[in-house]
Amino acid sequence: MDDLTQTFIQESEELLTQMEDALLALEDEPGDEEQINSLFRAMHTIKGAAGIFGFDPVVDFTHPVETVLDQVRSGGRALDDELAGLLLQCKDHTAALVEQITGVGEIEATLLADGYTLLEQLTGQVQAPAVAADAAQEGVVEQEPVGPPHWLITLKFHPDALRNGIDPVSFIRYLGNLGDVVDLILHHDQLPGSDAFDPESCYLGFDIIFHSDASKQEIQAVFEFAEDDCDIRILPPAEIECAFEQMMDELPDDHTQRLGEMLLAVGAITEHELTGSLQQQTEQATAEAEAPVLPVGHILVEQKAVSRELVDKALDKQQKAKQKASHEASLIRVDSAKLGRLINLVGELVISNAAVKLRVEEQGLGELSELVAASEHLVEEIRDNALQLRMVQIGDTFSRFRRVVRDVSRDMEKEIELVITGGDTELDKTVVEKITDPLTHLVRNSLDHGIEMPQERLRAGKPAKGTLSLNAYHDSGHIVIQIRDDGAGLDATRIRAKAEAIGLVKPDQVLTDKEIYQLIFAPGLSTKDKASNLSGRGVGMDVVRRNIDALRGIIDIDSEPGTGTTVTIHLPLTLAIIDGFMVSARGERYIIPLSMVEECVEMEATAWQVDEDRRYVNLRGEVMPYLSLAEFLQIPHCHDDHRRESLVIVRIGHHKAGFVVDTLHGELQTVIKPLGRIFSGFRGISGSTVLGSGEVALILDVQGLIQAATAQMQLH
Amino acid sequence: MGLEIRQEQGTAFVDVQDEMTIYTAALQWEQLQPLLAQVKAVDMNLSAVSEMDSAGIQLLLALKQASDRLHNRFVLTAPAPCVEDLLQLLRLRSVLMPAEEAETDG
Repeated sequence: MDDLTQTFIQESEELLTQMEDALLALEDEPGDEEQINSLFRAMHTIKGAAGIFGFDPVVDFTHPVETVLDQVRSGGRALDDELAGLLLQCKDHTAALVEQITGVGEIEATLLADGYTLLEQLTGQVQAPAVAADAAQEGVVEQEPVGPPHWLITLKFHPDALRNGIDPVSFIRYLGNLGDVVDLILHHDQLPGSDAFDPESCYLGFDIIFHSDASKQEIQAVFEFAEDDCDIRILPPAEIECAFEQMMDELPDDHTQRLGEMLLAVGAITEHELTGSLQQQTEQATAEAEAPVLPVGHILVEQKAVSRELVDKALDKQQKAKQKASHEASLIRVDSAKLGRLINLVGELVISNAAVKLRVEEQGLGELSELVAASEHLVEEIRDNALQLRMVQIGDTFSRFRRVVRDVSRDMEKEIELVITGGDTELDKTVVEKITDPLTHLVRNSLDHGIEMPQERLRAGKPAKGTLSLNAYHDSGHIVIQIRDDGAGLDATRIRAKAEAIGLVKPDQVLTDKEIYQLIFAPGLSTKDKASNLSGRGVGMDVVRRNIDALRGIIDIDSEPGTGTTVTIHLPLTLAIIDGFMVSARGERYIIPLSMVEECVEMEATAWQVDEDRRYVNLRGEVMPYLSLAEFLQIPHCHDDHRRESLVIVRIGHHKAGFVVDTLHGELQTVIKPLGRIFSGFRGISGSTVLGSGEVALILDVQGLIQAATAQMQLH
Repeated sequence: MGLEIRQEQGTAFVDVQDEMTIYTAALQWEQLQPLLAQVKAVDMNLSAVSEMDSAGIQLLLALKQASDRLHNRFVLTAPAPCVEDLLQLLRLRSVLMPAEEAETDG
């Protein structure tokens, strides 16, 4: 049952996200039917599912919302800005309800009260024009013109249904919330003889005559949780006649009789139709030799009891639903902890494979080396595939900001458009989770401080509508995320003044604008004169910086007064296994992430115009800082000092530096093991890995080292 | 808890002192199925059934069917409210409690 609740939570989350997306999309494209349907579906499905679980507060809240959405769907109520705003709040409220009821088991009084207020706002205006509601009703009838609203629902549960936690009765009971169960036949003819009967298998089937104004989707949604364990057939009034014939073939005689009577009783078919089609079929059955039996459906169509188009339309609709279902079925939900375990195991496999390789090399087992190379290749592929499993597109994260942008622009009366590019860029799910908060902060900053009020923008000769763009792309083993606004840009003078005020820089220090911009990542620096509703609640850019640092990423800020600000974040794609490049300095081995290595050259004082004092090299005209790993990491001297040294050029974004090392060992698959907390204050090292020999090698924190090198160069 | 079974003159009186759900169905079937061949009638008192789901209903239907095949009498008495509720919902009174149905009709 717990698994089911989990599914409920997950599905609700997804549906609510869809609802939000749909609402936002509708702002751009009002009247898009598909989106309106999606809104309705979300509320409706949650209501249905909550009903099955007995989460009454959720049902009580979603039901009126659904009603309103139904009116929107049928054109009875216009989806204006106000309604859209309310519906967004309803979405949030539903999420809160689901969270509380699945977590605590009951709903706090304040939350309930909020719900009532929302509903009042929502329906307060609906009830007035009762005409609209009537019109909605008419619309429904128009679509399904034949017969009174009696549905025929046929359920055949699979043997495993009970074992899977499905209780057929609960669905039938829940149907009662949508309408009346007029009559019901329980089929137990599939029950095997008493020796073969397994009390935990399900042998039951149901035919239900159901009186309701609900739509097929609504009824269908009731059974959503049973879909895998049940054959469900829902026949709208207009299709019952056609299906009746089919059932005559499938069901034992006495049931057909009974079903016929049932349909007759509720008026889904007329007595004349019933006897007529039964008779005609029997006649044809006897004359079978001459002509194929005409299905009763055909006969009824011929008799104009139902229209051809309607049947075709229904079939078409069913087909589409099926296609959609099969698309959904091609995805599997997997517990992310399981993936984590898999990736850990792959990591161990990488290490043990490296050990095998090393041993084979040491022992000079030439014949084996080919085998080892083959298995190494396979391990690499397994590693890539395993990591790929955890890759998700960043688009979903970006889309969340639609809501943020919308709400902020309303609140602040700014006009802002969000442009998303590169949403299909993939990165590790664990990284995505950790990047959301910093991103939110940056986006809010841009909205709040970056983009100006419309009048101000017009005065500056810019379009009244501001643009915030989110962009993502891959760059040499990194994902690059950019948040760009076309706002006022950063005010270097104000930042500097503030930095001087808190003693961050000295008044006589010469700083470029770019350096000043970087200051906003320092703790305690806020140029805001007053904290606004959005940002400035004590969480500053320094926290953003720390978050990004923790992900081994870097953050850069670029700004042009009057034109806008761009924040660029470089993040490693994964936090688990990387291709590394092994070097050693004074006998100690270090790993540099291969993706950051630009090139390796010999350290030649004359060729690269090494400036030993100011610590920079001029590499074919490009000046960059360098640092000696041995010195920086304070590795004790050992006897084979002063051999030939090499310079490894590393790059992140447009920051470059050279590391001086003794030996280059080459590429190596590296499983990143986090360092214990005791090393957390350790500069220059970001993790460790276990080598094939069992030795530990430290992974260099390239970003930290580049910063240190740059600082060193500037100091002199 | 569980089933209290006593046999008197070829009739098995079964007092269900438990829920009748997917959790208990297997055990209850195990106890009741062999009984059917030993007696001529089964009288199940359902007054103390605390909860019933589809598996419980299905168990009753299977017992009824097996009894019918053996030409045994199968009687349900004093259904608890939760049982009554299900019988109503699933229109099963006429199937499972035909005698009483006739009585109330008469």
